[in-house]
Amino acid sequence: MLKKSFLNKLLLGASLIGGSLMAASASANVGVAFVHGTGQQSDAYNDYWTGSMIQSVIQGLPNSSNYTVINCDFTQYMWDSRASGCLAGQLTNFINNKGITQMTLITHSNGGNVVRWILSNPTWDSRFPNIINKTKEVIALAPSSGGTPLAEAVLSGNAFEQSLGWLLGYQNDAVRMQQESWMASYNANWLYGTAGRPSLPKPFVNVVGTDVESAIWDGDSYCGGYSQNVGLEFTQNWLDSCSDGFLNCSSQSAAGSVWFYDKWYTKGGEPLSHAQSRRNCFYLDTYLRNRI
Amino acid sequence: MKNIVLITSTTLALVLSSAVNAKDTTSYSFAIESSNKFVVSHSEYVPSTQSREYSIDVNGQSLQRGVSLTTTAPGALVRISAADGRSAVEPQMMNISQKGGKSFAKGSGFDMLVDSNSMQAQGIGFQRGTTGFKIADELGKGEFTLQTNQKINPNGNYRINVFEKNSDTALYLKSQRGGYFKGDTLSVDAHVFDQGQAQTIRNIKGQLVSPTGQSYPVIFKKSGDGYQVKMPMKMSADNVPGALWELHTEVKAHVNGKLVQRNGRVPFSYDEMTASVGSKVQIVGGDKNLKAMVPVSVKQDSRFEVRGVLYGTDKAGNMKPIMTTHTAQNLGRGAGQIMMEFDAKILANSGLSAPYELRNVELRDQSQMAILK
Repeated sequence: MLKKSFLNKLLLGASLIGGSLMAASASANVGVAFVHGTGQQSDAYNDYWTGSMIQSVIQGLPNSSNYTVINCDFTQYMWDSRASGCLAGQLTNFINNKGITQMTLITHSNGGNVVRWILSNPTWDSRFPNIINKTKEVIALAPSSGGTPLAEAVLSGNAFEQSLGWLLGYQNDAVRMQQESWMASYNANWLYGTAGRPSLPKPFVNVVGTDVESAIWDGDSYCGGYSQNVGLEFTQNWLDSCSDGFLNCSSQSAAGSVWFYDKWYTKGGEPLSHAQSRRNCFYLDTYLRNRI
Repeated sequence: MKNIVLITSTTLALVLSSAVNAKDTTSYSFAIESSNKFVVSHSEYVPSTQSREYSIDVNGQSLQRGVSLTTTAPGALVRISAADGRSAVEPQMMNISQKGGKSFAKGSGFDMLVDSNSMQAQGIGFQRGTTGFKIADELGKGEFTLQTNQKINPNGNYRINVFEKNSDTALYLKSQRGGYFKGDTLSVDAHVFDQGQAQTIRNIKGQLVSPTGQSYPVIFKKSGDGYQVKMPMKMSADNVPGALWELHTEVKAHVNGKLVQRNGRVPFSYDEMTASVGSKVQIVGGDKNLKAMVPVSVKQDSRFEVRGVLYGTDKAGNMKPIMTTHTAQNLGRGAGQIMMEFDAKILANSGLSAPYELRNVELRDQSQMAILK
């Protein structure tokens, strides 16, 4: 399933050309927002995405200054004002300051859940409707739509759980939320886009990471940080045979539709580990650039 | 897909002032494409979990003397986390021996070792002071003794977590419902299966844990080939909105002559029933100002949302979905109603006409983040 033919690459190429033509002919003031994953960011441009990734992707914009990099506290539950509320504030400022009429949201990991909260709960916050209306599509890089068994592992294995850790918030709410069993509940009740649920109001397309390579002799292992890939290879033991070291493929494809599985289109058919799917590894940036 | 937002002047003012949350009526509709089959499952979500792991708490002295671990499949993953978040036990200093068999010194019995620095580097949130390793496949399964030569505080506390991905033995927890309201009876079933066969549970204990970490004792009673908790939910539901409660369970079961431990958790929501929606939803107005009047009986002031799918009729007389509409409004205690305004453009583009019907109606309390219907 994961090894697509040359035909697929041709089809993708054709769609990219078509997409570029459409974008060029549109009169919309197009923008892109980069939405980080779990964590509290103050400089996601450098710390989370890196400048080389962002500068490469925004070359696909008619006006390359029409971008924003979100910095919010995604250690919180997705509905928290410090998470989706913060995101709504920064997106609203971006829309207003740049006069954006159509934007693509590029999310990574849990960022996809926070965006899906906005798309699924338009009356939660008065800023949500305008954001939904201005959103062309969401490109969700390795979204944790179905949660991850690693969140359960983090919570079950920590000695802190029974002591001060809980109160100190060591196990942050975003980790708690991304347990598979919790996400099953939120997907069934509060979020759109998964099987058996209403569709999301805007397209939500996934890039799915399928494997982790951390061979010390393989230069490809170093894209995105070698030590992170080594760690991901360990965590992969909690996961299915198809995973990016943090999320099962089934979780990454649980909401919306699959744009592509990494090996279909990456350079040399390289997999995108969870650390690599937010970096300019193996032409990922080029594919994003051509789609926005 | 066409999206139209209908907002009151008050809400517009809030948008302009970058209000954090909606304070007044907000309505939003989005079209359901005619090509969309709108296949929505109406079966209630029933939480169920499986566990192939267990945890034991030990101190440093036990680790130096040797701790017994039982595994039911080759290749168990073991993590050891120091309660103080600092005094990691490094796997390179650990010895493992099979009961009545060989001993493997200084990590040589492990397929993969992750020291405390590497564990932190992967950044998914394992507690600082955690290390891990995978017991080598060739050591098989059974009883092992894990021992360290590392100098550690004998009184230091550690949690050992053993995850057996390939085990046939699992604890199954199933809640009767995905959500409970104050006054309901919590009902959770617990079984241990091995290759599909129910196993004899020798010991079972558990606790109900709130989102803030408050715990309540529960009593399991034998039920069929498993155990069951039936517990009236009387505690305050005023907790962290949206966060789930969990039943934590630890079992010891006899499996193939060995006592096997499993720890599991199953989550569910727990809320106050603050309002109910009436059955007589009225659809009024013409195609340009179609509305639904949804009666709501409110017990406690809050911000409530009604969402539903507007259906219309095609030329052949078949009902088809047109749009999903969400409307939220602040309501006070007593009899009230929420007026849903349907988007005229989406309606016109659908090509469908009267009679109309509002289906899949849900009432939500946004303040406590609860689905009331």
